Amino acid sequence: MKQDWKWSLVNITEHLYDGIPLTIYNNDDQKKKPLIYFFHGFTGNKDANIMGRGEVLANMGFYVVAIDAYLHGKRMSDLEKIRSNVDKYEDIIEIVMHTAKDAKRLYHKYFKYEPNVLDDHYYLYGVSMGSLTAFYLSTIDPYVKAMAGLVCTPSFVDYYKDKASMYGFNQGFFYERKLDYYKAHDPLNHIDQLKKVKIFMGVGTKDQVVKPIYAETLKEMVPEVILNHYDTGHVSTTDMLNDSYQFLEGVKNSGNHR
Amino acid sequence: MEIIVRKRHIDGIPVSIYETDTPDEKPVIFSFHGFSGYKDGDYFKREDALARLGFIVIGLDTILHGERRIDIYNQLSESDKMKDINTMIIQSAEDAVMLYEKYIKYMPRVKKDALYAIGVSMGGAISIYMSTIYNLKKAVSIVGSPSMVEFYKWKKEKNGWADDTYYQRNLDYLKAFDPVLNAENIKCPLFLTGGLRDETIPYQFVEMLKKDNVTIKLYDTPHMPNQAQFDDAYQFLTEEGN
Repeated sequence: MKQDWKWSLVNITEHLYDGIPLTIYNNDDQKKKPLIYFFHGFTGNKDANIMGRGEVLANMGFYVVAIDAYLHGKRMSDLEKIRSNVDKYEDIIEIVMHTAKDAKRLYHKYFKYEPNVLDDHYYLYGVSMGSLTAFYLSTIDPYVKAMAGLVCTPSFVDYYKDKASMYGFNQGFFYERKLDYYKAHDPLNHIDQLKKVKIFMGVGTKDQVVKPIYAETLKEMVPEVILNHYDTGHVSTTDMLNDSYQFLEGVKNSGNHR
Repeated sequence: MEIIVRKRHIDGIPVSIYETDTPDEKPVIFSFHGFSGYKDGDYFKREDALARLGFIVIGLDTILHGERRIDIYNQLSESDKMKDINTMIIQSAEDAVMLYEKYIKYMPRVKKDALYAIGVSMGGAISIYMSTIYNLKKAVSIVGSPSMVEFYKWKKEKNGWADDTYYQRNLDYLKAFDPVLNAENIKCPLFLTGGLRDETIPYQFVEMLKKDNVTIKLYDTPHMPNQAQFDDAYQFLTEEGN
């Protein structure tokens, strides 16, 4: 279950660990390097939505692992394929939490033992729903050193309520139970953990899919996080990408890993 | 007595709920299927029997099983799929705890603090592992292995797996989860059955879990259990004490 090809100097390989499809981008320079996870957005997948970032990050000196989110990409069962996206959206927080726990387990079970991967810290890069995965993972694993979130949200409860209103989620028992559960795990309710992670957030001022207000709330609570606004909608612009790379490069070169 | 069966999709997990059409409060029991099985496929109709005994029975598809199967995994050989069996065991127990804590304990007619587990083969292993991470009242394993590490080593030899990094990393990882190696975490009475002629999960693995509150009973059967194992399990689950 391994497929290899070359893109410039970067080796790109597909793997299946614990039944989870992964694509690894690694500049084969024999150096020991930090791992960075790439988390895609809702309805996306690890390969179509990375859009060149895997090669860029690998050439920056990261060991890049792109992961199909739970119920997404090659992890989509026949049952999931026929669910409507609105129905699936009702489970977006569960998708985020499951994927974050997968990533944490895979790092501690496999990746930190790879000879060219540093074993004392790792990084996260997430877009849209993938950013929420990164925020949540930052609160459950002290090994996360830094994360970049584009068109991002760190909120479970308020974000979910907004989506429920927008898409007309089913109300009642399950909705109420979900909200109660999310409160206990919402990254915005675990600020002490987020303060230990270096955070870059890029948001679009015209974004109506993931509104900037959630990132702005985190900025108010933790002023040291970086929050950049861009004149765009729910799109990763070139400036946003370049700023995120510059941030990661800066953290990576700062030393003092943990 | 009529059995009501409700099928739902909760947090992406296909779930079947069985209970009698009566208004009284009932204890909940999770019923876990075996490797390559699915939640409604039990030959012995144990969900129906347990519901008639007064339980609200929750069946769920283990990850990568039943309606949670994915094409990329289906293409693997049975031997390659087996390399991830312990990951599935751990995930299913965690799924069950999450579903119970998040939803099920708040549902109507659910008796407070009365959660049980039962399973066959891999499902038995899930049931045993669940007893190490949650305060169950009782748990039953029918022809399941309480051992993860030694069982995994045996599966390697039996299936001719390579002694590669994937195998070694799994073996090392399992030490922290193995119910035999972490038996102090089991806080409820267990009833384990084994088949004297079982070549899929030899009864020697069942016997590895030695503890005061663990009852082991062996039967003259292969891996396919007989009705007597279920009858004894039902008696264990319903009798007072233990």
